[in-house]
Amino acid sequence: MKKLVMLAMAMVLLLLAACSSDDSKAAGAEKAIEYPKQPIELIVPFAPGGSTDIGARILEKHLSKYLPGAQVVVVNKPGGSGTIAMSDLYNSKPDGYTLSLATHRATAMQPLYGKVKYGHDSFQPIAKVFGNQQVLVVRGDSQWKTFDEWLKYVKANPDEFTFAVSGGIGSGSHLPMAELEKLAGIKVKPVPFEGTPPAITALLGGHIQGAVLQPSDVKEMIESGELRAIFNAASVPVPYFPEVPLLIDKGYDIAYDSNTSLLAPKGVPQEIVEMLQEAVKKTMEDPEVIAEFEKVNLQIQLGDAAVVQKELDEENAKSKVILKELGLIE
Amino acid sequence: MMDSFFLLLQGFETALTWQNILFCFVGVMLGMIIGVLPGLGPVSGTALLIPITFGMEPVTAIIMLSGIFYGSMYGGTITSVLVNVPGEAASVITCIDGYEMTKQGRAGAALGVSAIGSFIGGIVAVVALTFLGPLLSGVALKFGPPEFFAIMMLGMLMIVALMGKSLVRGLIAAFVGLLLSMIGQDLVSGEYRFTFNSMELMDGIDFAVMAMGLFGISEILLNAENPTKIKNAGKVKGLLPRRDEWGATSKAIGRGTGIGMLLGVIPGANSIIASTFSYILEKKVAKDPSRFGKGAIEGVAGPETANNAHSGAALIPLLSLGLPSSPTMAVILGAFIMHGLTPGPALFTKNPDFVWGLIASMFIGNLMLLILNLPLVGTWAKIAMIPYKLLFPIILMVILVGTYSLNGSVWDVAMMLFFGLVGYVLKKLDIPMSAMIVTFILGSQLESSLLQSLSISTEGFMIFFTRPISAVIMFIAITVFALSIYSGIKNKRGQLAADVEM
Repeated sequence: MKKLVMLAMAMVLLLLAACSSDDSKAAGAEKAIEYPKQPIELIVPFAPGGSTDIGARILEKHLSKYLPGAQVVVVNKPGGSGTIAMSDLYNSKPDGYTLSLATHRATAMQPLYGKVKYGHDSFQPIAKVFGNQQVLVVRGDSQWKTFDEWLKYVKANPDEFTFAVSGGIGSGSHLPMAELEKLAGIKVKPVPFEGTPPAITALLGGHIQGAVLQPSDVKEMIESGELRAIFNAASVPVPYFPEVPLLIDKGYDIAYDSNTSLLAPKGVPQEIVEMLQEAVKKTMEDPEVIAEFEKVNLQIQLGDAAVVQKELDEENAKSKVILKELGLIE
Repeated sequence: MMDSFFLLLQGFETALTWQNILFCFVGVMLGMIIGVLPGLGPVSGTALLIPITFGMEPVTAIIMLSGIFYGSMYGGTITSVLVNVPGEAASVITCIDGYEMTKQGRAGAALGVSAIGSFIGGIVAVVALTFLGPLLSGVALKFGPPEFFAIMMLGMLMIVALMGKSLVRGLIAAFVGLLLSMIGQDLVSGEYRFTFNSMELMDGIDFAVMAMGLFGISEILLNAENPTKIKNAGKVKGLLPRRDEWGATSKAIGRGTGIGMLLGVIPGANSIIASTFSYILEKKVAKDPSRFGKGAIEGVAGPETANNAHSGAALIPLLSLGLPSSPTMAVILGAFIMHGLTPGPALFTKNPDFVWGLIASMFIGNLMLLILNLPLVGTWAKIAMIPYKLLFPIILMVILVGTYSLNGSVWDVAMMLFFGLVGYVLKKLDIPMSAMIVTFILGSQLESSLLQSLSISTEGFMIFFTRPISAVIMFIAITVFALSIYSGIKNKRGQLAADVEM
């Protein structure tokens, strides 16, 4: 019923706007951005229970506080390393009712494989919401205590050090090490795993010697001393493990962040984009929301649309070079 | 040991508060419904309900979510047995003999034996979780990629048992299954194989989608073509197996419990693998393997027990190591984190109320499921008495909606219908679908564990024989295979002789 009334009102307003003076046209336009009028679908490109999904569900719960009338519905569309969801977003109507909480990797790196229609610049960024890093971890009882010790070992023993890559060769967790091999002149053996849990299992069991993964997945294990972080391949330190050395600080120009942003399809009216940006910013600054993100080990990293696009462009350019070197793309 | 017992008693104190009992009941009931509905499985079921647990106490929330998980294992059987549509993936293998039993009017016995087996498997697994949890989890870590490969190899070599009358037809099925399991991204090279540039195929074929088509749709097609062939199931005769079946059934339940628990503890082996292994083993040890596929009660009892034992045991690596052993466990891990709990060894010392409350609730939940299931068996089994002209449109609709609900993708629906046609053709050509399904399930893990082992290994293929656990399993596998070939040759001679006599 409500929807019908709204629709009728919108029609009348449109008619009025069409056949009256400039003044009322402006009024009509203002009314036309009455948003949101229907539920907002928030696509999560990964399965439920993962970190992106958990983050999305916190937004689902709190966004309406700062965007009155908004009802956010999380829709999980896992598959194809995030590309199925991103393609869905690419093909959706730019009306502000379909958004995606997308990883920069799915947005900027996957198009390089040439299997998808979208590119790293085909979306309208709303805001960067959270960030994560990638670290190399080894077992707590292993011989390598520091980055330098580890580097010395791998330099002296080429092709000996085995490390898990979750998601397979050429995935985001493989690239930093592949680049380090080139820059430091070392040789290590990547062992591909389907995901992070099997990689951690194999590492704890001593079947492999290290693993590249996100610190949030192993926070407790590092704290308890079961695992030790050797280096951080991101551009910023891990907030809860600031002592883990950055590769850039060690003199290797490697920086792969694992950031997640809220994206919309291109062409969403500017007013709606601004409303969303405002609402997301306020939501992420809400102490209650901050506490919830902290509880689930997600780091809030706010950034505006320009920052997101810059990061996407950079990741795209960087990945292109390394994927070519690995022979995965032409 | 004694400590665990007292802690468990304290756990019952937590689990027996009225709201925990209530939500345990809500959980197992919802789980059963989710299990019954094809498509909607425990993964999507638990994920959908996580948000409503936000306001609850953490222990209540996890009690409910785990209830959904093991409850769905009970529910999944029902549609597999009654209408040949697997309610969830771990019950696929139950379709083979369960539906045959229904055709013979023995739906009641099939469901009754599954409920009892599920209960036993579930309870034994929880007992193991109580007393041996931390111990077992240490053993689980010893299973690395080479050991995993050896287990998969054992399964592969045993499928000769599933090949039915014709070895050639069996091999065709096995190769088709393997080929289908190759679709998607190759982990090691990062290349996409057999995807024909389709994004939907990048992750390979969803087992649930394939199974619903292969079993459900093909059955509907066959019946549409020849509606008189299958007589109506008639009256539901008894909820229990015949007296002469008791021995075999209880042994199948025992073996199913063992397999389910063993594979539940090892992170990475999901409940589908557990039920499949149990089926293969039952057929292998049966005195008369030819009964399988024609309504052998062990073919229902074993796998159904195994998947429940698996769901109980799967909590061991989650609680004691913080490692999810299956997709549903990953969702439950997510729920733990959302409620501010981190599974792992510290959980037992930091939140003993929580851990033991959860374990105690699983005893209660399994008991509830048994009480719910046994009297309901008669009611469920009446579904088989609905005339086919009414039943099949309903099944078709449920399958279509269920497939769509998996990922909200029309592609999946088309894929499911395609596999319906494939299943129809296979049945017409008398090619054993079970062999194809087993190679499909084992294939991708066989390959990834092989490649992982070889990347770790410094001595090539010898890694499988120099590590003790994998060497023993490989030895068993090779022996089993050699024996099958030997008995195959012997039988062939017998057949040839018979031919000559004619």
